[in-house]
Amino acid sequence: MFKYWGFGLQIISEIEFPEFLPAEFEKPDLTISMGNVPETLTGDDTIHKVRVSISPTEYLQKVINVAHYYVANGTEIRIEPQPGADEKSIRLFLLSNAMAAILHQRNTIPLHASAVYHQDGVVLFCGHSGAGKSTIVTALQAKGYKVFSDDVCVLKPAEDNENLIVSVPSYPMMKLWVDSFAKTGITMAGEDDRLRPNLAKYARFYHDEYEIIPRPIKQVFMLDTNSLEQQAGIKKMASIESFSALQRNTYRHVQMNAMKKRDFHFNIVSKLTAAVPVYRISRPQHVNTVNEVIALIESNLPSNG
Amino acid sequence: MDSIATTVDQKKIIWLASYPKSGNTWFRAFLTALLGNGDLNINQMKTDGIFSSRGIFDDATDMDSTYLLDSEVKLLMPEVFTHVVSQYEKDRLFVKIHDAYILNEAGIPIVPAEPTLCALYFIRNPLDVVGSFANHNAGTIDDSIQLMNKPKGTLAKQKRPIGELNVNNQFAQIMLSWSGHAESWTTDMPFPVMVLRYEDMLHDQLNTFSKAVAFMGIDKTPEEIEKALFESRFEKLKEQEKEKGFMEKNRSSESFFRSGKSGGWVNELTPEQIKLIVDNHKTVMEKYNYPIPDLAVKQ
Repeated sequence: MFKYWGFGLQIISEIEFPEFLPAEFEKPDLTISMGNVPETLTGDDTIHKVRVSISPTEYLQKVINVAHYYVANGTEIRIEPQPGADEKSIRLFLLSNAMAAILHQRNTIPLHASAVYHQDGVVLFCGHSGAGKSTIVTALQAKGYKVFSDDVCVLKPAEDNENLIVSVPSYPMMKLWVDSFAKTGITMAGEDDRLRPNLAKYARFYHDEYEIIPRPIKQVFMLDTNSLEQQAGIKKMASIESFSALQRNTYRHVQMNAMKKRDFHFNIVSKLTAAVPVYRISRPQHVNTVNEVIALIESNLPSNG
Repeated sequence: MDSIATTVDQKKIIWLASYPKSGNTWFRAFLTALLGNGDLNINQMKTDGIFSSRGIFDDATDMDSTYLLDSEVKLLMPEVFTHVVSQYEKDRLFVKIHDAYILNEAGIPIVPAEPTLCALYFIRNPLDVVGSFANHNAGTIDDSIQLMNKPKGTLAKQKRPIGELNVNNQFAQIMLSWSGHAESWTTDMPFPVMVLRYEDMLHDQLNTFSKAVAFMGIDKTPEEIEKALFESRFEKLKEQEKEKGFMEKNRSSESFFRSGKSGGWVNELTPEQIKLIVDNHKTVMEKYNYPIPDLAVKQ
């Protein structure tokens, strides 16, 4: 068995995950095993969608040609690989969907966000896949900022203060689309680093400079690619607007609704938006605006001192 | 009891199918006005999205589809739209589609027959599509011709030097060639398909739109249809776009609604360009009564 830390959890796994951080502990929060999964979920409170069924405590997803995943009670993931499936794909969909289900089941919020350290906390960059989260964090890293988390940050109340919302990192791997390498000037990844065969997205590990301590959130930037202008722009968001933007950026919001977590989310996100400024950065989709966006971010960070 | 039915209890989807720039959006504007008693905001159409929508797919599957290969997406498409109809109370869903009617890797049509009520197929003289399509893509006439002649022409495909990105809000849409597209949607179909010529929509308006409304089983009077036609007239669509913009416009293109006329190709295309279209699409052009220009006459 392999022992890891990931998403704030102590994980014991039957299969190896190079993505997670190796760890030592006695009692696991989450067990990942291989085995047969149920054919279907039953129960009045189960929502059935396309190859996925969701109840408040169980999640069953059948990823075509990859694996079937059964997730229960925030403590267990069972994997039934499909014939011919490759290990990278099996891990990728576990790290995205099944892990999101675990986090929702455990009453935490997986937010679609990357983050860097700033002052005594972190600054989050939210947005859908392709919005530029990982690219921005990679560019900031090249300028000396330290990466906190990529793609997903877990939100939860601080242990000693339920009104303070802190962020927990996911795991020490960045995921970059092929064009991000040229945009940020870093060396192109190798063929082995593809997240799955034939997908133009690559892994970049940073286990050596990774820390797992939860951090307070100092500021949030929402990234979108809807700008009709040829350059990037920034605007501070009103609290209602930032509330709904954060809710939309909940990773797998379909799960949030199906698991009946809306009230819980409302509570956490309200506390966050009440305490933290949220800015929207809009950029045109097909123009390289990395330097402009970095300048906008740096001139709008909470000032030191 | 399950909270959401997984089987199709009713055929609900009406596919609004076409090669791009063939009257599809105009028809959706008309439908919006027709179903909304004359109200029309081009940025709030009352139709139900596009087949290639990543949002619809991700919502139905709980997948982050940017991790899926396009072939995997196409395998799931029939299930996605079969599921979608179970999510709606209303009895008709109008879904726009530019994909050709093709099979996925499992040999199953990507467009499912099970939840389908019928389809409207909009066709326009390819000689006029060329210029409009070039404007839409902010590309050249020759680029458009090349795509229309390509046996496996694809829309919204993201090409990069190494591999393909997969982050657009629409999936890649395999359209085949212009002729291939038309033939795919009109040959041996498992559901009723009515073909609407753009030219008839322009020049025999009330009759053509009335036939389409009746085909879809929508009960409206000629007066109501006329009112909807007036509210969705081309000049008004163009004016709304000028005033408020149009979110379906390609970002690099100047405007979505261009001339809306037929026969403009005479002043747009060179004899070589005309020949390239006619040589590739003569059979389907003749089938839908598009006159084949006498290239010896035009210089």
